[in-house]
Amino acid sequence: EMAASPPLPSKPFFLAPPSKDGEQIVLKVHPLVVFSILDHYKRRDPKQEHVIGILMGEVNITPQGKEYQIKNCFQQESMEHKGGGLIFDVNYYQKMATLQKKLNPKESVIGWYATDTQLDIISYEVYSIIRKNFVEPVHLVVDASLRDSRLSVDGYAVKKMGFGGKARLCQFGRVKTELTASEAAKIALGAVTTGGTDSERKSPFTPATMLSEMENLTYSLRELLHLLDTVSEYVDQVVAGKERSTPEIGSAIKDALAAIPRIDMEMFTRMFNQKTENMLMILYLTNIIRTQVTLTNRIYEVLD
Amino acid sequence: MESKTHPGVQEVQVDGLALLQIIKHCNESKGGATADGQLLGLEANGKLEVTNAFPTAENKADYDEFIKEMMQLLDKVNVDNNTVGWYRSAFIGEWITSNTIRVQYEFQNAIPESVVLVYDPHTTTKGNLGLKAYRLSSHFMAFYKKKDWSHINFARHKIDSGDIFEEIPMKVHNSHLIHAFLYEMQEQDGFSCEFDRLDLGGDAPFEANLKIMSNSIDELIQDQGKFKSSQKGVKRVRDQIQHQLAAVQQQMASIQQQKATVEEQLRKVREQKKEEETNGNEISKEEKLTKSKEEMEGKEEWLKKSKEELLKKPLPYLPRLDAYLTSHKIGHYSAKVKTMIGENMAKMFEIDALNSEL
Repeated sequence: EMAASPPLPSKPFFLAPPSKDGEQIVLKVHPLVVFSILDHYKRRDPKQEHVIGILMGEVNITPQGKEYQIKNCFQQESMEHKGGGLIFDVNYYQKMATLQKKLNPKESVIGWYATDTQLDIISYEVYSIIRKNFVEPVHLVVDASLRDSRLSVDGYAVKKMGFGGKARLCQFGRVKTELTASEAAKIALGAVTTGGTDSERKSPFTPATMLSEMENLTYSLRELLHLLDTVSEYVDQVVAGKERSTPEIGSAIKDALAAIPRIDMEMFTRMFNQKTENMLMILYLTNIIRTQVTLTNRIYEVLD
Repeated sequence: MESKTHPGVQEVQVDGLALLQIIKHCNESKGGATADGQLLGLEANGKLEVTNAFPTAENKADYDEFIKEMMQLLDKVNVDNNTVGWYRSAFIGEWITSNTIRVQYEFQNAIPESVVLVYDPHTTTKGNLGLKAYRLSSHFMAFYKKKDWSHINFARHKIDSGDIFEEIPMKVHNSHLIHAFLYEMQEQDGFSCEFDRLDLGGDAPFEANLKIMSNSIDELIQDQGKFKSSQKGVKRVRDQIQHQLAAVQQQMASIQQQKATVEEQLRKVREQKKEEETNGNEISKEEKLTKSKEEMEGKEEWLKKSKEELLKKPLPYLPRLDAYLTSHKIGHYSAKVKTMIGENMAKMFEIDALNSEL
């Protein structure tokens, strides 16, 4: 087995050699996972520099290879390893894994995460612990130290190399990592970033109020207007000869304009009136219903 | 909005993490079943911060064990393990049920600042997030304790159907690291849903809403019918009680009369005793008379007691809580319909404006 030969430490930027078709590994990370990791990092013991935890999710087989959907994760109580680096308590791991399995039977342990960008022998030990539950765990590194002004999220898989049919050493190779989210999650994130009117929010970091639907609509319209302005400005510049344009941009603008449906004015007015009438009728009905119900309730108060 | 329940908590601050967890759980729950779970966090400076959330396990049997274990494990990694409320998924106003009230009441009793977050997976489309925080008003909490659901009690406490739940303003909060991540994410394509909102939609949401409202109205009408018949029942019971009271009164009057006659006789016998010598007959007569007097007093006592009981007997009033909840639901749905109408009208006029430009 692998215990005989310790792995060579590999630098994070080493790109794994292109694997055969059908063996490509792709990691799809949901924002919840990253949020949780960052939250864990924020809450850690001040003495610890990094945190470690377990990834949960599903593995799908696609024509290109394996796709790991990382949907959930949980924190691990970490301990300092004698050789430096982090390892975790196996008891805690098993207890938490069973609890999580009860909550989400469809998800299973598929890997682990760390905020430490160093991949070394300790990572290998973690890898072997997890391998007991799952054959090919992957490793996610979230760089919370914000090196190079970037919060990078990278995924690694273990590549075994060797000859003579026996794997002799293994390396952590980087794999393609993408961020993906369900529609509801995207909306939630949108609400988080854009919430609050300009007057109330002094900085993007104050808590965002949940905007009402009308305010959201205003925001969207303003964005649309902004986009239209940018494009028309660009076109003016090109016509005035101050900027060059490319055929791609030109055809994109043409497509956008062509997508506007041409409706004959009379039909449009009819449609508009019909819709408005419907809305007003519903409004009237609703008001009547509410008044009636309130009245009924009041009558009960007077009875007896 | 001044909160009447817990003067300390004026707003709820939800962490992005908790928000995503709730959304994930509710979206993944099968079909129409409601998903619910616990909220963890802490209360500080009038704000209730919700920092984490986890779902209720499917198996309710060993749920307590589960919670204990979960809290222990979470504590080891420095996650807040105070329960501050619960969350549930629901379609627009369907969460207004007596079950929700019962659970929220128990929560609020144990932890005064707890809230219920209601997440609506159906409204969270096209750029609108359907998440609201509610709490039972203190008015209603005091009323709920009495468990008297008659309409008289409702009127006495002046509970209006809108009074039951109060909404608490909600904010979403994230740490700086998470903001860094959000900036990274925004650079990626496909993560913005700004322009989904401009979709006109169809009449389908209106139809669904109106259908639910008409169902609720049917319920109310049924309830009115029940109320009428229960009022008849109440009248019947009241008449019965009146009859019985009258009978008791009569009996008491006759007994008092008898008592008076016996007392007269007793007095006469005692007088005779004083004048003549003591005679055996007279003594036994005296004893008999005293005995019958005591008997009558006993009967009088018993009659008095039964009269009290009759007066105290509870009248079979119809429990009104469900009717109130239904009217509250109707109010909710009508508010929702109005917002939708407002949006749609705005979009229509905007299209009109654009069209006239072209």
